[in-house]
Amino acid sequence: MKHGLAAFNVDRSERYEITASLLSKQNKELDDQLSIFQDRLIEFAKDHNAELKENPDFRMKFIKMCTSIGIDPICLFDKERHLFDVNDFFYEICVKVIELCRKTKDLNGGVISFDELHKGYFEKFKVEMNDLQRAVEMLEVLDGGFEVFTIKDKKYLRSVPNELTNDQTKILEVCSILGYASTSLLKLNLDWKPVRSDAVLKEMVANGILWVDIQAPGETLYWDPAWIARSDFFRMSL
Amino acid sequence: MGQGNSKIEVTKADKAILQLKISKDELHRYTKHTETLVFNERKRLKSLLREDPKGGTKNPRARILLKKIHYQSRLLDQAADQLINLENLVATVEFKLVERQFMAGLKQGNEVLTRLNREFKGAEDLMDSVAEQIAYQEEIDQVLSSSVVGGFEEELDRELEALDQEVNGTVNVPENSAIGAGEELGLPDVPADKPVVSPEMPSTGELPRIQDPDKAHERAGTQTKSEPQRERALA
Amino acid sequence: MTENLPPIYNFPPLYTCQPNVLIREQQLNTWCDLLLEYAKNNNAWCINQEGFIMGTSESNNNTIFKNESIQRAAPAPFIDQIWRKMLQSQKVVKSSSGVYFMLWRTIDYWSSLMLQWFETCGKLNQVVTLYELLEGDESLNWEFHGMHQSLCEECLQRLCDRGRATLLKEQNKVMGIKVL
Repeated sequence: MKHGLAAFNVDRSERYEITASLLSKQNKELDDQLSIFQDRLIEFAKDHNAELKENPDFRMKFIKMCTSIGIDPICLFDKERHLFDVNDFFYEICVKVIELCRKTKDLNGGVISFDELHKGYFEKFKVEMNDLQRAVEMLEVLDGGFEVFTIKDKKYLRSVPNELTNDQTKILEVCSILGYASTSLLKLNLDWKPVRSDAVLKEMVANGILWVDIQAPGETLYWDPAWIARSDFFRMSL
Repeated sequence: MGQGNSKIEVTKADKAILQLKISKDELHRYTKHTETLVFNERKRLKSLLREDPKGGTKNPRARILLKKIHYQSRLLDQAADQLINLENLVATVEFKLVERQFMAGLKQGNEVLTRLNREFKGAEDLMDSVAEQIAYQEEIDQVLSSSVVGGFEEELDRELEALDQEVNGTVNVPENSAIGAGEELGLPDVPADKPVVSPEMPSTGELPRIQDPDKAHERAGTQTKSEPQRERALA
Repeated sequence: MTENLPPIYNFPPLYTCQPNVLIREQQLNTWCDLLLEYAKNNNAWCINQEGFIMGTSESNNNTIFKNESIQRAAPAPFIDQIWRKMLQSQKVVKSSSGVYFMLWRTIDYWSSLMLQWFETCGKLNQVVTLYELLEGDESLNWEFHGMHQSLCEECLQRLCDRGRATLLKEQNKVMGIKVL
């Protein structure tokens, strides 16, 4: 059926297919090799735990090498066997926490819930909630403007050095229930005068802690961005 | 804009193929369109029958719809045939183009071959003259070898050896001296323009000449030896 | 159509222009990401100012800027801002007819992908129509299959600029291309 150039096309495409399959095979092999190498490296870290613990220079170089080939240092730690110095493990978590806070600062005005942190990154590496809390405690000691506060049994981390006022904390508290706050809601729950609510809410918007929503029926709503992570959680659990 | 700038030329054949392909595309589009049409109408027919399971088969609308579907699918078949025809045509044209390239390549190859062959004609003359030269060389060789015919060589060897022993005192490797003698023997003969073979040529008159270079060498040796002496005397 | 978008799509204040400049910047960036993601998920090459997908005859009475499930819609001036941001970050190209071509990949990426197609399918040094390239059976499994013609012209122009191709016109309309 195929005359003319089409006859050549078949040949050619076959040839290209072979190259393509060869290339993908090579790619796969390289990937395999890399993952094997990564596993070995982790094994190595476990076997030579003592030396790594003793020699900080060696340890630093080793961690550097691991990051350069794509191993997150967190997965090198093994709490049960006290791999490396346990403190190093928490330091690594601290670094990640700071990184995440910086990344999300413009989205949530520097206030992030522990749940968000945990779900956003640490869950993948089997870092537990209390590990995270311990690491953040260490951050607080550093006095870098990090502060932990609790709203309705939920812990939050504030990474911008701006003291939250009592009123602001209360509003966040309200937000943790429905995801938003409004003047009428504050009047109902806290018996605040609309002027007071308005002032605090506006200020929080200016600080970037809350987002305005003027399309709700009736009145303006003020949303806490932490809602996004929570709704994601609902969607996944459904 | 691209047409003006780029150097890739667009031939008439390209234009023709473009026209062909455009009509092919048009057909392709038509078949796609008709396919969806038929599909949709089939769906409609099915829903029609489902709605009215009893009178559905007698429903004139259903009949018309079915007829329409048949008509459309016949058109579709025709279009598909035409599409195949067009595709074949495009393929043949493209193949012809390749063939033309192939012919051009063949022609060029042929030209090169003939040109090379023409050059080989000169090579024939060259070969002739080379053969002549070789023949000439052989002639010379013959003359040379015949100039030392008949046991004379052995005599020469023996005499050289004796001389060598006389000069160096040791028994020399005979081959060396033989070669040396040969060279010295051969050299004076080459300038003889007429290679006339004459048996009288190897006369004993040549013998002193063989010895001569040796003696001259000796003399030269004494001279060089005496020179520094003279210099010393001068000093 | 909007099912696979990240949860922030259902965040009600996303549809209100935020007064805080930093936050608004973040909000606009979020919208840009959402638009590209939306276009990629739905193979929407072409979206108009109001957020409707162009070119597909199927039910497109939904705009991305309106979220029925939470009863929110971005107002027109804010949509303007979003498009401006998209243009500014070169995630979109505005056509002469006023619609936007979504670039979830860059034009350069598309043009090299097309070049790859020409090479692997043995289409070098022969005339190929744009229809054949975009709608033909031979490009079915390629990501650019179904691309809008004028966007495709833009991509092919890159190949011409590199001296690899020439466009063939028919009645002042680009119909085909020849790649070396």
